[in-house]
Amino acid sequence: MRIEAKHLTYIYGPGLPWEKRALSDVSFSIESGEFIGLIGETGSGKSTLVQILNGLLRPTEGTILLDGSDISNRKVDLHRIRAQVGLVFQFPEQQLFAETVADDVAFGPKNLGVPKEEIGKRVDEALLKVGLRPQSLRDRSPFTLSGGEKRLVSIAGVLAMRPKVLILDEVTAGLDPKGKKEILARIQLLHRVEKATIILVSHDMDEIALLSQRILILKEGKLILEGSPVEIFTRAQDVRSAGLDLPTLPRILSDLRCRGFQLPTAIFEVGEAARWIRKELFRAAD
Amino acid sequence: MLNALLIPTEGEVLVDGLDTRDSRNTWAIRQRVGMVFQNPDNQIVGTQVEEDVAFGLENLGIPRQEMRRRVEENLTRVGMLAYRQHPPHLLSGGQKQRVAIAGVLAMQPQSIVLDEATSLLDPKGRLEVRKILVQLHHEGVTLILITHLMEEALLADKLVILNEGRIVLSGSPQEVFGQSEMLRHCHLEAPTVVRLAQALRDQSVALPNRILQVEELVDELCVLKRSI
Ligand SMILES: Nc1ncnc2c1ncn2[C@@H]1O[C@H](COP(=O)(O)OP(=O)(O)OP(=O)(O)O)[C@@H](O)[C@H]1O
Ligand SMILES: [Mg+2]
Repeated sequence: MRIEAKHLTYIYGPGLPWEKRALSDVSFSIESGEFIGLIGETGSGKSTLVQILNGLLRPTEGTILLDGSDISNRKVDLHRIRAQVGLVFQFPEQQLFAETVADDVAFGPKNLGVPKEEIGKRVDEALLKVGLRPQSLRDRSPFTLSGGEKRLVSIAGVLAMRPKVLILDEVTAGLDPKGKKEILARIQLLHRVEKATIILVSHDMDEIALLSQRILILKEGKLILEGSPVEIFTRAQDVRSAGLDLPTLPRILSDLRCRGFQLPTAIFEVGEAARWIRKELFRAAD
Repeated sequence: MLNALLIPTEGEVLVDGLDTRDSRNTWAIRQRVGMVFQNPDNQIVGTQVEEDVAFGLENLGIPRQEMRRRVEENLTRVGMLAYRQHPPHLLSGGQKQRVAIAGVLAMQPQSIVLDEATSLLDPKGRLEVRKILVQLHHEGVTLILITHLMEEALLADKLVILNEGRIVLSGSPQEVFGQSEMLRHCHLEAPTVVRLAQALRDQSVALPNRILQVEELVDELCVLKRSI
């Protein structure tokens, strides 16, 4: 699904003491099947933006086009939008509520009016997509699962609505390295195999650099940079002035560059970085 | 269990010699051990940010003027003074975490436990909190940092690794991150610098074993480059 955002502005609590202009004149487009990393410092407007994209918030100004049709139009059925653009929130496990995993995952499609016979199929399909075994999990209470599994169930709940776009707002925050890896691997599969359009919001520059095809940076509600991971993370100055930092490896490599090594800095894998450093060491020997 | 929120089924926890099992000690223990949890939504109590930060102080019976001073000082410290009158539940995730940290700092406890308390912060915010922690440590505050970020674990004097409810490793970061077998067994990974140094050693670059910090790696590589 192609997304076009034109001149989005969002103001919280207009006229109230805590009135906040969370987005100002933000425009961008996302092609069908792209993997987008959305980053920016605390309070820069990321969560606000993704809630606008899935119709939870209506922009104060500006328009959103999904495959060309305008969803800011008041006549549009927002439930349909929420099904097409699935949003997984920060700490989504907090919103698990049902007695069984199956009931939890079924909640979305039920609300959409999916026929009863089909719901069971959707639930199993969604659980499989996140790598959970329906047979052993369907009847478990979500509260008996590990932190990582709970998050996977929350993602399954969104996938059960068969969205074309999947937005993940800090889904790996606070997870252990193993849980994190599992979730990220699943998200990559959804992108590669299901051809889902993915928008990943994260403060982990390493994960953003490794997964995204294109990165958007917000600062104080404005879109200030966009480009590929290599383009973005070679601009250390701009990244830092947006309140962010380089991923770990580029940080090490740029320290080496300052000390006279001739190296590219936008490298995101340990093995590749090691090969470059080794080559540079022996180049000096020739 | 460190601040008597949970009482051990067996065994005992002593805080300054105070037994957490004795409920008469609970108050004194919580004054000594401050905690910040991972999900800030569970910690919000006030209807305004400054009220939220002041909450713990009110309970301690701190005089009004001192209270106001501490609230201001600590909101400044975490960069949230401008939001003092905002309703905390309307803040962004990272902003809520900053407020939660300010709340504990304001109480000036002797020990602080941070349970994944920076998971929603941006890289700059995380660095700022790290600086605050280092400073507190210098001032003599005991810090217990629960983290999934190995880079953050490098800050500690001592690391303790738990697996399935047991301590499986403990020691200095150098000792612990040297045990790659055990780390793998616990599904953990050494910090990126340590892994990069290892990858270089695997490609027969002669680096010493004990590299933990970026500066150490960079220095060693510079020495090597000159000597090749
Ligand atoms: N319901 C609300 N009412 C008033 N202000 C709000 C509300 N929700 C968010 N804000 C403000 O809008 C701004 C943008 O918030 P948003 O949640 O979009 O940030 P974010 O980029 O997701 O930050 P984080 O990385 O901390 O999650 C912040 O300054 C926040 O305080
Ligand atoms: Mg957010």
